[in-house]
Amino acid sequence: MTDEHRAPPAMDDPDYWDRMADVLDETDHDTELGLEMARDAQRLVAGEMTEAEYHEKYHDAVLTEFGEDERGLDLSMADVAEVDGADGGLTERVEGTFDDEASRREFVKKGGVAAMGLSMLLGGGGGDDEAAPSTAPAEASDDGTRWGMVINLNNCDGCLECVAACKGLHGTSTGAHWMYVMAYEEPEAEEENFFVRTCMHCGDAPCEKVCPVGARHTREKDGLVLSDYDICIGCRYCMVSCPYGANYFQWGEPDRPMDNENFTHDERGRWVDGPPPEGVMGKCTFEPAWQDGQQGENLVGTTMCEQACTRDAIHFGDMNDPESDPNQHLAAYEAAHENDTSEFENRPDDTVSTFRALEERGTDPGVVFIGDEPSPEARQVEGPVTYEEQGLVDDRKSGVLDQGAAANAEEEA
Amino acid sequence: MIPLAGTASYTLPFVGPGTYLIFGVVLAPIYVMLVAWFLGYPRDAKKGLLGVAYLAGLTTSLWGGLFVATMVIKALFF
Amino acid sequence: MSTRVSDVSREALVRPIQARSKGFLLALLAALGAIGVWAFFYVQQLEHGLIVTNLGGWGSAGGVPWGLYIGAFIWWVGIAHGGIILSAAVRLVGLKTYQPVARMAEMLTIAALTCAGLFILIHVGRPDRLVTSVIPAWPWRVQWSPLTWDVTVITAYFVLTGTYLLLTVRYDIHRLRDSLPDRLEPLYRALMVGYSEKEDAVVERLVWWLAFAIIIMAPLLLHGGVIPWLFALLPSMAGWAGGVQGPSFLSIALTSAVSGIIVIAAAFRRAYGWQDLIPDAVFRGLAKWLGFFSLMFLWLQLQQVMTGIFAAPTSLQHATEVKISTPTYWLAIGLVGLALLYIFASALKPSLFSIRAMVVACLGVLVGTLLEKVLFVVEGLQHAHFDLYAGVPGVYVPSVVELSALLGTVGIVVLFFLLASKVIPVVELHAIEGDHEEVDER
Repeated sequence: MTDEHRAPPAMDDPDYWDRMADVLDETDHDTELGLEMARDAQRLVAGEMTEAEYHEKYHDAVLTEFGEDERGLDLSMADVAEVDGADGGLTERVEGTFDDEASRREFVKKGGVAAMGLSMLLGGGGGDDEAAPSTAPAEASDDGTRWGMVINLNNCDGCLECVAACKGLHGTSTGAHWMYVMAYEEPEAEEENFFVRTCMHCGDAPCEKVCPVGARHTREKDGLVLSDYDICIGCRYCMVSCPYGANYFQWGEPDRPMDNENFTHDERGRWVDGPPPEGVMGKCTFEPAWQDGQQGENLVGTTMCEQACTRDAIHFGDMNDPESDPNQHLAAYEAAHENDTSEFENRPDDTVSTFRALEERGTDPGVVFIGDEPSPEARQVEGPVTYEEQGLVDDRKSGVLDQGAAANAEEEA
Repeated sequence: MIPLAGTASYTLPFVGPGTYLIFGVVLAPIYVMLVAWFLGYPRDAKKGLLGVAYLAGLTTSLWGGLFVATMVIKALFF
Repeated sequence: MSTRVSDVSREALVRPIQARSKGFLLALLAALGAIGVWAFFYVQQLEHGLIVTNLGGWGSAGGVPWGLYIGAFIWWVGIAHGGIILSAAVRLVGLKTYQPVARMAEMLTIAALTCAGLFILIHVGRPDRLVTSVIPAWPWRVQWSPLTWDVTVITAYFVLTGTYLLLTVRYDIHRLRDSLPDRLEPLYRALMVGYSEKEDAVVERLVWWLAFAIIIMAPLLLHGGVIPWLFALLPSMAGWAGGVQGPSFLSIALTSAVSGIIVIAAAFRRAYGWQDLIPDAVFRGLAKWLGFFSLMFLWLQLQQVMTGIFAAPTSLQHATEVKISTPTYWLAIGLVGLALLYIFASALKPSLFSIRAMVVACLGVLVGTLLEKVLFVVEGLQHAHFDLYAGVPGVYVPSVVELSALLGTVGIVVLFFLLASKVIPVVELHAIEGDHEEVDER
């Protein structure tokens, strides 16, 4: 038999609080503040206080003490707006904290607000050297967020789990592989390689330039290139202009029409995710609803394919943040593959090959690959796991030729 | 959705090649034509206005007709 | 060469408006039938979506997203250029020989641009949004999107040509009013609003400037500009590269445009006994221009083939090698080449020339230019720079749905001419006025 609600370490146990006070005394920071915050953190976990209230109550004190306030990271914007003052300052601050993706994921993994409060107290304010406390909100990095990926092709083994997971989440029709993994061979090589093709969310996206109605656009706040399903006229020019072949057109009715607006609509209220309606274009989105926090704090800064990958190949995060998951993975991988500069000093530090796909096309792709770029002579081959085995093959065309438009009603292959 | 200037490096600025192409090059002959309509000899401003009325009326009829057709399609099929 | 077109009577001019014939009825029924076939298939497409065509996604899906619809769109825009070429020749350069066919050519422009617009309507996945999404976005998208430029310039060409027609037809209606059918009187009154004979000199000047605006805009910036730029500006497809696309597209446009005019002029001449109104000299002259434009077309194809096969970057070389090993490509080249040969031969030996043979050659050119354009679009999409996908190239053969649209638009052009020829004279009154005794030239 278990308690349906287990209180955190003795709320009224004086020994516990003495021990905590001792720990706090050893830090450079205000012991009283720490104890107060810890008590309220326990009230929060017990449901006697909301997160927004907790954040608002201590914000000024935390700023005074630590110079910055990185709490409140898993609040939904609705919660924040409820508690916010007229000046919208709390909203601003909570938004501003989204830049620090790495530390946020760290907090989330530790499990909950109580841990957050405690690690705040024990760890001190992060990296802050200013003597004078600042009341300014935490600054976003100058370049803003730019969501992207580091995909380690050396780690990929073509299991296609990412492809299946993406399809499961987004409900894309058979044959519309927003995530696509190709096994390929070079003419001279013996081994097969893999190329993982997401949308590159280009910084200079040709698909956005050519769209005649502005349905394909780049989100200013974070660089995601998205398609607005309400505006798109289905001219397919984005598909024609994309050098990567990342676009998919909804030729018939979607297999699984999706109307869960919490997922299909981003924080601007625009319909940009899920299977497109008939006659409209869609592609890999990097999950804008997740990045906007609409599906919970745990899912900010990650994507479905990253979650599904068990080979440590896919790393999603803010490419402008050196501390983000993708950049840290690249740094760690490079550190693990050092070059021998004992004899020749001017060699590069590491032996790792990276590239951005088709970079010379001028698209400024947002995905960095670790591995070798496929040459113009490379050709796709069947991989160790086939698309048939994953139930992902599209027989729409043969169905159409045999049965005409009635192929729409066919079961998935 | 409507960036007036690219604040981040990856947003499209408002002004692009099409601005110069359409308003500077493609429409230039039409600007010249309109000026010539009203400034040359023999001159008749009323006829110039008739021409302008035809231009505007045809554009409106073209897109208006297309609008009606697309609304019919929408009502019947979407 | 002096043709006595000025001796032709006004009665001949209005013959189409007044005549009744079985041939007309048959043509009308055929045109309506063609349109009906297309309408049937188009409804299928609206019901089920574009899945009923043989189009598919490029990339992992191994298809082509643009096919016959876009190829035919480009083809019709090309044919539409005949109007301004003829009108410019007559009004700007003073080549009076072609005046009898100038108005037909302008009407062909209106009809062809309408068909081009129809192909866009048919091509998009959401035709219901074609206006509601495009128009509000225009001020922002015209700064960047080649498709928006396209829409803008085609609208401009259509509107300018329509204005040209509406202004020039007033002169004719005023002087031929008695020969025109009474039941259309409300229409004529509308067309003649504010007319007095004093306006003729002014309107002549207005339309001169219209012709000037169009001759700069349409060949150089529409079919030699925004249309090829739809393809040439993209970073994705190997075979669409380069600045040569502008001149190449223009050469095809002029070739197909002159062919279209020859066919239509020959049809009217035959139907209404207009041997004096549209004399042989018109066809011989048009044939020479067709020969010149065909030569340009073939020469610009040579440019692309040479740069693509000698030492080109891998993807371009591959795309070009595919092009020249496609039998359909050589069929297209051959059809235009044959017409060129015939024109050259009959220039050397005039007795070889006959309008009937010329019409056959022109029909061949029309087929050839359509094939070339569809191949350009489709093969371009089958050979991207990023050539890794095993599924690409996929096979593309136009479906019945797509082919029916081609039939339907031909029917629409025929229907347009049948109806319009009953309302206004398809040959300008100026053409039979000798030295324009009634109007001062500018």
